[in-house]
Amino acid sequence: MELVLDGVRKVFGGVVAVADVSAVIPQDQVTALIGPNGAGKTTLFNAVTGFDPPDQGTITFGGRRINGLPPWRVAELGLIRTFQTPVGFTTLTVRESMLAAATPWFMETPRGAFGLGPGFGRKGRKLERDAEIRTGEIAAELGLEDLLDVRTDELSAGDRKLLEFARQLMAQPKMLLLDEPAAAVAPANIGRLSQLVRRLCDERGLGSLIIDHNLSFLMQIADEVHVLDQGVLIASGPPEAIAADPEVMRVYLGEQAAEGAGP
Amino acid sequence: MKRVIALLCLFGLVAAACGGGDDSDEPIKFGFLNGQTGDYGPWGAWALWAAEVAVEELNAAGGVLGRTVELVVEDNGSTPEGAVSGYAELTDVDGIDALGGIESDGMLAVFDTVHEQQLPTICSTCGTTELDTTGGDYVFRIIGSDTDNGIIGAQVARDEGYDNVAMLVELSEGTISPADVFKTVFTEQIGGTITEDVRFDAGRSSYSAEVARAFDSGADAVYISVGFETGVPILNEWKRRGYSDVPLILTTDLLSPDIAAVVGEVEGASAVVAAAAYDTEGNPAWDAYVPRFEAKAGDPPEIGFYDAWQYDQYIILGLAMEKAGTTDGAAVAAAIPQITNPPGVEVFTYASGLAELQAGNEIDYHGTTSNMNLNAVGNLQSPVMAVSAVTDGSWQVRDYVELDPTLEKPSS
Amino acid sequence: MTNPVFWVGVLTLALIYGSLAMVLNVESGWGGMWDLGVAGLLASGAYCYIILGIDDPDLGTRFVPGLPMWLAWPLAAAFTGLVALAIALPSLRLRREYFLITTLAFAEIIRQIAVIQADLTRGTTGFSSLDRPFDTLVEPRDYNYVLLGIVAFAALVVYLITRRIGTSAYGRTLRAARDNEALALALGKRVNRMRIKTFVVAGVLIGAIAPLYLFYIRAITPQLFAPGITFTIWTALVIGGIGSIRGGLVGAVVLIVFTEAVGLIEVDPQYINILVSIEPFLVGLLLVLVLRFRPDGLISERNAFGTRAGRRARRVPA
Repeated sequence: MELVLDGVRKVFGGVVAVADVSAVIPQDQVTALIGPNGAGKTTLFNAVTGFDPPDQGTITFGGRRINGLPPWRVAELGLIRTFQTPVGFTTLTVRESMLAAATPWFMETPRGAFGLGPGFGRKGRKLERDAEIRTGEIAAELGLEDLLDVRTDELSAGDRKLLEFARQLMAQPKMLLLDEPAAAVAPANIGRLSQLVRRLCDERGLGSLIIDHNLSFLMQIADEVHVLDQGVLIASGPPEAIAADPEVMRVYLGEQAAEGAGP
Repeated sequence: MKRVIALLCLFGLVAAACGGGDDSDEPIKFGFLNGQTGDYGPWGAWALWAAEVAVEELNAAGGVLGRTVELVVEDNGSTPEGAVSGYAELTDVDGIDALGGIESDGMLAVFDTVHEQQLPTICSTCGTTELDTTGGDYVFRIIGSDTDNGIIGAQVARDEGYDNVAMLVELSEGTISPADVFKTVFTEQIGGTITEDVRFDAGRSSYSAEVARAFDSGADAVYISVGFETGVPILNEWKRRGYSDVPLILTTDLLSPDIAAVVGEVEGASAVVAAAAYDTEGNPAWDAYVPRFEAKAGDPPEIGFYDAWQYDQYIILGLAMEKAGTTDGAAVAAAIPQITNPPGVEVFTYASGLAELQAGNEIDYHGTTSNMNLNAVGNLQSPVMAVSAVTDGSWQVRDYVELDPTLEKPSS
Repeated sequence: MTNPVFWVGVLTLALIYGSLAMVLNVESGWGGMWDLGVAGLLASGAYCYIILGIDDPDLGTRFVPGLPMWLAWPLAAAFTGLVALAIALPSLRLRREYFLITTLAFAEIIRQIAVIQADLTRGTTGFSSLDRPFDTLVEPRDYNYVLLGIVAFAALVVYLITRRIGTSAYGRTLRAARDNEALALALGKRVNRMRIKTFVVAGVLIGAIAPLYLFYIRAITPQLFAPGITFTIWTALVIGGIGSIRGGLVGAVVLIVFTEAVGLIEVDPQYINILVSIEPFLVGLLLVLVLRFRPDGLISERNAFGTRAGRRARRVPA
């Protein structure tokens, strides 16, 4: 199963944000998408996840065309994304957030609230119990087990980042789309994050597509790297090859030099 | 939750402290349920002043049944809900013996309860056509109905010789029903033509399109049934566009000094209001009322504020209670038509009525606004109607008119 | 208390408002749909109920269906649900503040229809002398107690329904989507569909409560459904606590009882003008005091949903 982009194009008021990008992103590996600010990375993300559909081109996931589908439908197919700022469901507790992510749609209706419809009776109760068990397991795995009853807006930034992963895992994704997961994470914790992403891929076969500025972080964990510059895909390949590509270094390091030290 | 319960208990104590008991040494209580705030707020103070003048008159003559009369005032916020809760407070907490002051929509909301509780009630300013056929047992109306106001408008249009009339009607309580009656009577019974019937909701920034549609329709006159607050911008628009050659027929709500001022500024303009009027000519009741109202209000009575009807109702209630010899609701209600209708000595004040009653005579009370003769459903037999016109920037009664009996009330 | 009958009436009105506020809480507190059109839905239910029950051709209406109360009542609730659907479909595409204005506008349109369609609604005259459930069984004087019983039962049912919604997975996801719509979408939540359904459920419940309000008022005119009633319901909900389960009920009881208690203050008639202008001020003061000392209302969403463990953990440094 793989995510395939074919000639994806997105134009904002005459400015080409993403220009005919084509790429194949396997579902069972860690893929990085890098590029300087304004290169079109987040635009591409929004195009894939249905938040801002592309103007041209097709996007398929597992052979199924997904461009034009609403965001919730893309998510149902197993592509679960994160956002740059991990605000979360501010007033929900960690437990509620995780359970909400796991709840099937037919329980989230007025009928479902009264145990009617597809979630009727024993089946509904089993679904709830299973979700609660998984909540405990995933929280333990991520070190959130003591914070289950804390509201999201009272978590530290680092815990909120972990909750982001916890919610995604609860949703039983086929592939993760991570928008700058290392941003605003203390350098000491970046290693933990890398391990987590790697482990999910290696142990569970759950791959990721990651956008980030932190080059060293990406180079450590990515199996394959795509480089985007001004909407155009300029290079693809394993991290070592990308790191040695003079064109990439010119684009990327030039940008970083202009920015100062980078994030 | 405990705090909430404590709070509720506190309210309970306050209520218990405020509520009165029921003792015959106590004053007789006349309820005054009226929109002191809300849509009817601008009329509220005038209504209250008139009611106070009446109650002072009752007490100055020694009270009713030898007891002082207390006016218990309750604001209904000009809403039916306020009328229901205000009524409950007046009856359940204050224990009133009779009720006055209420407006049409509030009256309809408490109508059934009034009957169940047998509370003598006078609706002094109700226009609602609902009361055209109901009432007379406990609810009495001492002002012309919206039906009468609609008929008199059509009658005036006929008498002025207008064949084609355009209409400007605000979609609100009290403005639609006279307009509908006007239209039906004018077209079906008089044979006139409505060139344009423009209806609109209030609260707009401009009424220029509506005004243009009505005045450009080739009508001999324009009939305007709108609320007071809508009337001013509409007439300003009328003035600005120079439609002054088209005469205006206005409804009661526009019988106000502000409107007269606008009309008075326009050279050659003609505007009449045909509506319920105060019964001023050679009427001792009126002559007695005016100075006392002026002393209280600082202004003379103003027809547009409906004050005098509020006065009349409490004089009637006082006399009826005296006639019944008891505060019992059923007896007092039954006495109301007895003291307002002939036969009997015609009386114009509470004191003179009281004297005749104590002398064992029947009385026929004549109030400040009409002879108060009531029909079987508690409506006025012949409300006083007048045509007023603007002279020197103010409203002056041009002539008193009787409803033409050949013009029939249209069935609703 | 010396005047139980009076307080019976006050409590009846408070429980009707409380029921409406609990329903408003579902759509606005949890659903995040700031609805200023409650009066319009209430009017839809009330007029539908009344019109279906017309059995007197002398009233001059075009239809005289004459349906019995037990049939007209659920039909009115269903009809109000349809009205809610018709409002939700176009309005829910709009963002929060525009949704607010749109619902207010819809409510005013509904009220104007009630004024204009006089052959259905009898226009500004409306209907009075309404039949009320069980009114033949007791003396009119005792009916207030019967009505309080009916309304209390209804408030209990509404409370149980809204509590069930609030504590269910459905309510949880509603609150999640309210907090962060994009994130909910990214997790596969059918946010818009869920909100439309919620708005319709609120419509059905408001339509079911509407006849109770008529039993209290005993008459119906378009004036009854002016925006003021929506603002009273909102005030009750804010006092009680937006997002909590029983906040609307508690807030309505506090607000209505307070308002009526203030109305009991008696002064010499010459000061009545001052008093009537102070009364709304005192009610406003209550709201200000509540918001000053309990910004989330008497019962906050945090208290309703946060657990003890959560409140303990809050004090642990992160």
